[in-house]
Amino acid sequence: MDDLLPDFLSETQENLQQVDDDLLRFEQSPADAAILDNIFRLVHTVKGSCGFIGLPRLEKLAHAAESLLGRLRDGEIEADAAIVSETLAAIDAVRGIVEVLATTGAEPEGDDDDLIARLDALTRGRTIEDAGNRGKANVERDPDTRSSAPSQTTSQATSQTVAQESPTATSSPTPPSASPAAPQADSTSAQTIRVSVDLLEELMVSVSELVLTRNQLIQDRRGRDRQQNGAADQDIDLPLQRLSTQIGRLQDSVMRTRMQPISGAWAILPRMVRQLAIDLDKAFDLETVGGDTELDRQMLEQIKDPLAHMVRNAADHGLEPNAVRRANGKPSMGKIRLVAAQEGGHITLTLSDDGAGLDLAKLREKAISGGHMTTAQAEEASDAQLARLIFAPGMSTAKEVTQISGRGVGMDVVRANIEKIGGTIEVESVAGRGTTFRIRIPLTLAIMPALIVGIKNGDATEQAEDDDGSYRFAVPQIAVAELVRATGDSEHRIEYVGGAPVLRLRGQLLPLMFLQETLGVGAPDGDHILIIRGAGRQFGIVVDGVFDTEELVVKPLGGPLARLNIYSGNAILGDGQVVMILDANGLAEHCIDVGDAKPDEDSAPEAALEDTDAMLLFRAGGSAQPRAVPLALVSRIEDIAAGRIEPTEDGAVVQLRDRLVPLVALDGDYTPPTEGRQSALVFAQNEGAIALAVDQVLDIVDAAVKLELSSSDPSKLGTAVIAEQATELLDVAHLLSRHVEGGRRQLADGPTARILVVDDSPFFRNMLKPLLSAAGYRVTVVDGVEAALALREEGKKFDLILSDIEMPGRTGLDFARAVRADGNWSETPLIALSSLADEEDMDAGMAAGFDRYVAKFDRQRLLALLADSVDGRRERAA
Amino acid sequence: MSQIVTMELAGTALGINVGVVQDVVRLGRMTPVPGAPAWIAGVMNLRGHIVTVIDLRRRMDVTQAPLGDGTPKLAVVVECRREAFALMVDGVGDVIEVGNGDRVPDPATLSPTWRDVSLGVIRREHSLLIEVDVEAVVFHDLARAA
Repeated sequence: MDDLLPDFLSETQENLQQVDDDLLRFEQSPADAAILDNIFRLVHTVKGSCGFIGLPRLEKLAHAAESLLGRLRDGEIEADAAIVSETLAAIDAVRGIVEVLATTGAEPEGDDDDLIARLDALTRGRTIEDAGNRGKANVERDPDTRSSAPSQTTSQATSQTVAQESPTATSSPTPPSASPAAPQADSTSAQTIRVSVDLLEELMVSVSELVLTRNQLIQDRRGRDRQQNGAADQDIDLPLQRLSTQIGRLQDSVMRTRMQPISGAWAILPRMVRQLAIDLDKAFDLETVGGDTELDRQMLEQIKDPLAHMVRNAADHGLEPNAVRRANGKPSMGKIRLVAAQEGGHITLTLSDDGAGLDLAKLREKAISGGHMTTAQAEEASDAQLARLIFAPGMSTAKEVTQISGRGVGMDVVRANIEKIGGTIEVESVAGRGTTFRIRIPLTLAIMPALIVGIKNGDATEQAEDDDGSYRFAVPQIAVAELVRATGDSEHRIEYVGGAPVLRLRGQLLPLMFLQETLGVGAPDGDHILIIRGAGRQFGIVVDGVFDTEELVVKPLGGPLARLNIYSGNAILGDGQVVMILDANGLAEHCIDVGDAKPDEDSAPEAALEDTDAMLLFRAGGSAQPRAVPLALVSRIEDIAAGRIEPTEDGAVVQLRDRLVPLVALDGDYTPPTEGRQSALVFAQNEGAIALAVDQVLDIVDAAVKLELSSSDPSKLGTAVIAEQATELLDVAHLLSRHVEGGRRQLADGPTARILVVDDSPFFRNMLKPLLSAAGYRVTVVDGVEAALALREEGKKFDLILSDIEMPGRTGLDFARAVRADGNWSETPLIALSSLADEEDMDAGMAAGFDRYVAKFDRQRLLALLADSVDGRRERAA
Repeated sequence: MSQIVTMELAGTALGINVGVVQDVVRLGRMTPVPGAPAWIAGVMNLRGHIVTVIDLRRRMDVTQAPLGDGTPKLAVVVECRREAFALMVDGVGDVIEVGNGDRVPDPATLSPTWRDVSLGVIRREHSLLIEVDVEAVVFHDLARAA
């Protein structure tokens, strides 16, 4: 018996998987005798083997199932949901026993009498209660899978053998599953033989070494050619060429022996979906497309669990309950779609649902409470950035922990598992329309196409560099989206925002990293940019040179190197040198996040919805990069003769309209010109003013300002794309506070007045906060009426509230009415802040409960009003 | 009784159990690994296997000691946790037989860096020899972190 058990187990495990497939197809077409025949025969085989080896419990169960299926096959009873459910339950029980058998070698304790009784009852033609409730899930399957499934390589995870096609079939160039003559299950034995997985692995290792040796030969040959100026012996070329071609074919064939249709990874899904539909009480479809796409069995195993988890998530969190869907005018039946396709050397898997989309507000909240983002960052974050957060640890958005998902194992684990096998995952969500995940994984882990890149060695003392003084690295091709050259005269160039290098590519602002700098081997250099997709976002790696592509046989990193997350492995190149393979996901962590990355065409309609502001563009400090400042903040532009500039101990000053005004530079100290003229922007605040020296005033444009990148430099608000150029936005308030006395000290001796700013525009929040802070107020900013009223509920108190009028959802007028109606803010002064400031608007504002009205860019009046309101209030209180 | 391969590093006599030593090689071209600890000199191709090369002078913090004239770049290839590592040394000597009686405790003057990797000190006729624990050398930071 001991000899027979392993064979029995592997055969049974394979058979069981087939039964699952067959049963679900059977449920949809109960008239299909061929399918029923398959199911019956498989159960029959299990029963027969059991009796032979002596497994009484299994035999009894299989017998009961066989009897039921027998009557069904003979047409004595008709299949209904109850019969399918109980048969599935029986198969599950068989599977459970087989699993215990596989690990312990003996049947588990206990009996299956209840189940057997139910099966017997059905066999006798009686129905059981509640049987009608089962089976709401409707599973559609790709027709390709249907024709191919049984004869292909279906094997269980625990199985140590894999069914393979005979050598004659393998040598055919088309993948086996695409063969039109793929017969039904019964012909399995004729065209396949069983080969142990260990043997296949061994074969793969040998082929890998062969590929490596071939690469070395070819490299060596090229070297000789160069030495002998191309006059090398020709007679070796032809055999070498043929050897190379044959090894290529061999590699391909051996790879294919390890390939299995991806439907193997989702074979469990139809069952799972069926159960989910019952557990969640949601009716939905699962549609699978491209099940015949093949990939390495190793990858297949790795992708199984993440896929199952994601489908579960989609069903549980993605799809709304049927009633909600109907109420929202959607088809009440939800739909989950899983599509696999091969694209070059990798597989793409797309899992989409037509549910509610990600709860971005919830993600934002969680990001703040979980410490992934500061409040300010979360407010600025784009939808895409927020959506990406679901890949961060502890970010499950499920409102309640259900049995199905949301048990703390979230998308971060899925992401980690996918990255472990060299894959990437991205998410896209449209509110009310659904969520789409895109996974890319390599076909195999054993041999990887990679790009060899080089950087010059900046550190001359390094002993171990290559002969030509440079480093080479390999970058997996799957990670490289495209290559961009950024030379002086090309379309693209490397720009700097706040000192950080960025590249503008089709309207996106991509952060860049210089490989030398990241690795700490030299100063930033290079003009070749690899656009990398990693961790669901794009960035660029700048290198000095891109050489060629090579098929690498990946070897794991040695002990102490395994911890370095910037490398995923190493490999021996054709010239015999070792090359380190860069890990795009690891490198991504070294790259700062640049805000939104939307193509132009997408942002255009969005921009139309936003307010545009007049911006003054200029150059300063010798930098080619344009800077911008809201025109409304500029008092005037002066053109000053060099002779009028007077140097003092505290820097240069200039007399403007009877006042001495400091003349300052944007970055560092200002050196006045000795002749000619100096352009300057004059900013005034209260009694003080400064003149900012600029090289050139470029233009005044109307632009929807959307900060893309916030800055660590306090004198800058951040960066935005204005007139199609990455432009730094100046923080005027900071400049003033640095150079003008007053302001900050104004209220320094009394208790600081607290001001609440309500504005949906990030730009204004960014501008007002430093401005008011510089004037000595304690400032809280929120992005809308709801957030403001939430603060009221928390019992927060303010000395004054500034609110925008035009806001999406509840407007400033609604806000004013709510504040005045009741609650502890009913006495707080309210100032309306609006770009619409004609009489009519003012009247409406006053009627709603605002005390004062000020135009958005009228900074002087705003500060004066604030001082007046706050101080006036104090005096009244005193 | 055990057999020890003797070697020299910056004037210090060292020994490694013959059981873990696979080979003594002359160093060829190495690929540096930026980002790795400074004592990792790089990785090299040793007959089709990738071996991590450890700069033992840096690892043991004895970089000030002068290098001998024309010292060939030698490395002792050792096996540790089923992987191969090449330890750069100044010279390799004989294999000696060591009895239990030859072992003495670490002298108090032994620096902490050496103490961390010492399996014990072996008394020889004219000198002392530190028996090196390869695992402690190679998995330096990991052991400390654990």
